[in-house]
Amino acid sequence: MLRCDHCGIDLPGNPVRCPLCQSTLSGTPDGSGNRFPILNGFLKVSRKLLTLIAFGTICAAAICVTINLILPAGGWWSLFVIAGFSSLWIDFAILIQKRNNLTKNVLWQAVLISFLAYLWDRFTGSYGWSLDYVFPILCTFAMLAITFIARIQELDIQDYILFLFLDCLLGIAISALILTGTVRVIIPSAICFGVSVIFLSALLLFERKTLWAEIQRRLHL
Amino acid sequence: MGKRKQWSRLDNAAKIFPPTSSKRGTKVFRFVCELIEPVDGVVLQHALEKTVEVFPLYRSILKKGLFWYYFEESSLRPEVFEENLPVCAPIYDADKPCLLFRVSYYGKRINLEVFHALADGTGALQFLRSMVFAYLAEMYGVPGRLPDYDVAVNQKSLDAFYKYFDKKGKVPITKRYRPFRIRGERWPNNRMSIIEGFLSVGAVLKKAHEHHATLSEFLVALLMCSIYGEMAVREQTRPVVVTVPVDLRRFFPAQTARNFFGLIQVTHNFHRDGQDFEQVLVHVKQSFEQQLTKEYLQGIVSRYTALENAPLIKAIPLLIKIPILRLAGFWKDREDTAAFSNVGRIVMPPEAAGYIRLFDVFMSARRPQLCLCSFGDTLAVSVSSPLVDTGIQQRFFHSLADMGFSVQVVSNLEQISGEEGFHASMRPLWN
Repeated sequence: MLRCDHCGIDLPGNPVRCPLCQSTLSGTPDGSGNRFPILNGFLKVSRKLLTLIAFGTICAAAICVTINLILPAGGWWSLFVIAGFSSLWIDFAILIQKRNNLTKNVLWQAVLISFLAYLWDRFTGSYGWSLDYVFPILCTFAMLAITFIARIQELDIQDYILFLFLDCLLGIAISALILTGTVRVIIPSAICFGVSVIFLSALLLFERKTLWAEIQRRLHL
Repeated sequence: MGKRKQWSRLDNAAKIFPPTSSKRGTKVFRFVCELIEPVDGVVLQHALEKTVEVFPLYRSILKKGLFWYYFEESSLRPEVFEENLPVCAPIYDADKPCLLFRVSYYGKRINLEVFHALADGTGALQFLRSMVFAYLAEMYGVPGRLPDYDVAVNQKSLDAFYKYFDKKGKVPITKRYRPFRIRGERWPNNRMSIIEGFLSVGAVLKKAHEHHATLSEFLVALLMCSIYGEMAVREQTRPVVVTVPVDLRRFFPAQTARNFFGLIQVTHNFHRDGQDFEQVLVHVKQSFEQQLTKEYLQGIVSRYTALENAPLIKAIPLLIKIPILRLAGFWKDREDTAAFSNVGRIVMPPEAAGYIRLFDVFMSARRPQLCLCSFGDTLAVSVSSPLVDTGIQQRFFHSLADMGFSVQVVSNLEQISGEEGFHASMRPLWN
């Protein structure tokens, strides 16, 4: 066995130096091998790619602001560029972060994109397109997408019932927008409302116990 | 629809771990069982599958509710793999449902890594012993079974904190001082150095008894003196505080395979209370004797549990609880200098013991943490630390060698510094 004469300790395996004092060792290795493997390739390369893209966006935004400062005649259009990049990155971050749970991701995307669209709508003249089209259409498609993904991935209903249920509630909440007259184009919202009621009644009629169990789990105090 | 999924609450101690775990402090601990012969991955996989059947909680994944985290039964299959991750690498990921433990092997070593929310050392040890026994039974035809194998499933999944929660328990308020904190450069990429020392239990016990101390008291005093040796003069007025987790099963009967521990703290101010080993040891012994009483520990259990069971706190949404718990964890981290945890004696049936060289344990830590356990006559003392500087470890093992003990040391230092070349290629483009 190897020995560090300085520390007075024995060293099984075949270290090159004493782990305590870094001095060289005497004796011969006992042939029992190292206790820990040398690791290679643990870091993900995807992180490097992300860093590059992030750097690219910051460069693009900086160039736009610079040009805008030099040529201020066209108004502050570079702010829109920055807001656009930010929206993309916020959405992208959630997309990546929740990539391992697709059904949850779909619901998140529906809510987040609707919210970002609302902000854009609000600050670019309040034409109402976000509530008229984006929100109801995303809400409807989220329900269909969750069901579709669950079929493809052969998920157990317990894994996604909550997301579907929440999406149905959102869809039904649209009726409030119709009734208060906030929505001017009725068709997308009406379809969304109808689909939500159908999905919700299916959940309540066929999967009542599962839904109740899930709600109990999620809401336990 | 499949079978209705079982779920369970987290026990009291477990609740702090999911929000406070991060890449830097993963709250993962590792048990090692080193065999005499190399490990066979296929047989280990069989052993693992058999063991998980008996410990259903280990099939759980951690999910977020509106108010609390909870364990949910899952159909994920645990898989044994040849070790290819850093020690105590993160296990829990809020966005990826996964089992809360992993089993790997390397050479003659079987490694069980567990996320602390699932179990504490003693709980995980039950699992490891079962798995190792199942492995040896299949590999070498070891007969018989583990004597304490027959604990009912509901006993293993019991929340013992709740069982012993008594609103009357009062814990004396101890005055807290700002402790000495060990600072220094950390390993890149959140790597952690592990230095394991192996000694003879008999010899160390004899020495401890010569000082009229228990093994833990003796080694805590030695650890404190090693820390003192590394303190700068201007820092010596600050006390050295060592946190010691206590297995509450020793005081309150419970066979749970989940968490059931309490933390006590041993404080010594070298400037005020003396620098000699003997003085430190006397102080440590006093601290242990004061705190290791049933009344004091009952007080700790009550304090932990009362907070969790306060109706107002219960009703705070998890989204708000998470940052609060993180902050609490951050402050808690600053309250000590080092930690010391003694998992105790590990016993295997004599037919199986012949195939096992030793058991070892260590834990992810933000500051040096010493863990020890013993098997047969081998005492394994492991120090895990995120710091590059190993002065404390050096002093600690030096003192043991100077006392005349035969010390064997293994470490992962060469492995993590060997990775440096790899890191160099990951530097940004302009370097």
